[in-house]
Amino acid sequence: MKTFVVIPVLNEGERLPVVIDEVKKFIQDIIIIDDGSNEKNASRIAQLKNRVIVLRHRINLGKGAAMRTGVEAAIAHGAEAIILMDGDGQHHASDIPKLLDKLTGDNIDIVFGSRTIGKDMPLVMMLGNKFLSLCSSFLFGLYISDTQSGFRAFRTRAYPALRWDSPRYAVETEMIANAAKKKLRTGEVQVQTIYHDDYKGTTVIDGIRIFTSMLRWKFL
Amino acid sequence: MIGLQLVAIIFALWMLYFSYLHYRRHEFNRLEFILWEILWIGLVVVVILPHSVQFILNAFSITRTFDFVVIVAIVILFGVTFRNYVLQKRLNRKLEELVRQLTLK
Repeated sequence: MKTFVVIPVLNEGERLPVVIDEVKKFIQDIIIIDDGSNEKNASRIAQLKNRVIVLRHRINLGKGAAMRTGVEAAIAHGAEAIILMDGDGQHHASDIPKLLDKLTGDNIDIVFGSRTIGKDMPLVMMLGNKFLSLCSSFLFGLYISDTQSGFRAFRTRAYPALRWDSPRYAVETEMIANAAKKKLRTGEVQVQTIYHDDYKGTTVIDGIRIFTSMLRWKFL
Repeated sequence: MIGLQLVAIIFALWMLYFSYLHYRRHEFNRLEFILWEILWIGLVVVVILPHSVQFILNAFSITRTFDFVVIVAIVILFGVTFRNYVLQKRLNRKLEELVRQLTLK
């Protein structure tokens, strides 16, 4: 199965080469979407062009929009399966085979890589994540233990059903809502995570926005 | 009250001029220009002649002309806010599509 890894990045010029080295051990086709990084980081990311496909948004559109661009580029290159992961090095590339085994072995449409809740996860994030998981289960009938993990794999054929509109951090939850609403076959595997000091992920405000978006997806 | 009326008239005349400027710059079409001019002229009329809208106050059981102006202003603000929201969403989507097309080219 022709598999692409799509990595949306914003100002991650420093960590990205290491992430790519790790991913290359498992998957050769990588698409980096530079979502309007500053000049210094953009030039660092552009230097990776000889190793991976680098695409650049001229202005910052948000993670969700960058993921869509990356996925559409992967499909244009003939991808049959796509793995989404973050570019800040918080995901272990060694978990890629686990995601792919689940995807192909159980013949399912999308596999969610869930971080171990409660271990190294900051408390606010842990509580927010749990709350959103329960909301997702209640509203859409699909319980994913880590709704905010950006590490996931899906078959390209499922993309029309999964396609999201959220330009920013609600994208992960919208994928879950779409998967549940379109009755896709879903799976979940545990993945490892490293939380960096300058972690830039979902904030409390993002969590509130995601919750209101969930209500919108359900009722509007 | 005279002072407040004066401020309202100056503001309305200022906005009349601005509406005209936008029309001259072709940023407003004729219909938009006429609608905005009606709004500002209406404000001047109501401020100078508060009793001119007495029949509306009676019809809607509004006590004071000032209350009427505030109610109309709030209704207009809601309308304009809604329109801004829709336009902003539309522009966001168009911008995203444009940037994506340029990226994938």
